[in-house]
Amino acid sequence: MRASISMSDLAEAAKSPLEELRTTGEKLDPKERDSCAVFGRCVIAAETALKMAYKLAAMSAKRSQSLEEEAQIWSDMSQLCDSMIGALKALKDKFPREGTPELYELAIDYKLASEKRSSRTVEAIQCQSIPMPEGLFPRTT
Amino acid sequence: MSEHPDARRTVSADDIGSLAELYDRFKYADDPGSTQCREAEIAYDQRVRELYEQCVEPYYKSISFFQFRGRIDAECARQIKSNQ
Repeated sequence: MRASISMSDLAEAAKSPLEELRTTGEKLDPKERDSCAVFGRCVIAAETALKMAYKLAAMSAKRSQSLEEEAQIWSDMSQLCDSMIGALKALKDKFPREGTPELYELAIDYKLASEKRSSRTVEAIQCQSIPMPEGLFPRTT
Repeated sequence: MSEHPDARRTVSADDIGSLAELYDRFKYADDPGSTQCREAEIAYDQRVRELYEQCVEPYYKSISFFQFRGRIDAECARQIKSNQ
């Protein structure tokens, strides 16, 4: 039996660095000594989690058994990006030098990519049932 | 003179095979911002547009480009999933 990772597992794995980013960012004062270095470490952890989550989402989408399942994976990934974007919205101005604005931009890029893949998959699902002229496509067995 | 139906260009299994390779490279890329991913998406959309203009547009006015592309996407996804 092949072990598989669900998107809820991914969201759970990304939750911890995301929560740490949020709580640390809210708690710290950027004027205080070492606070930027501490927050910078949280940014790196959150960025790693986001990139890993996207890679695993792409892998799971490819391996999924159906287009319906795939659309759900991309939609879940898009929601995960939303959580990251929400957490970073205020923090990118509070900590502008710790890679926060760059991570915010990355989360937006991943959000747009996931959303696009989700809607494109939904389109494919809908178009499967549209009758096409006989012979236009090769026969599938 | 009426056109011979056999002269019509149709979507072949080879077309789907080469499109599925491009589809795989952009849709399931690790990094959606990579040059490889972007180039594959542009090449895919361009190839689908060409096929639409050759196989569909002159003969079947009721089929829109988006319906055709959606069907091609579904065929590519089916091929990728079945080859795993």
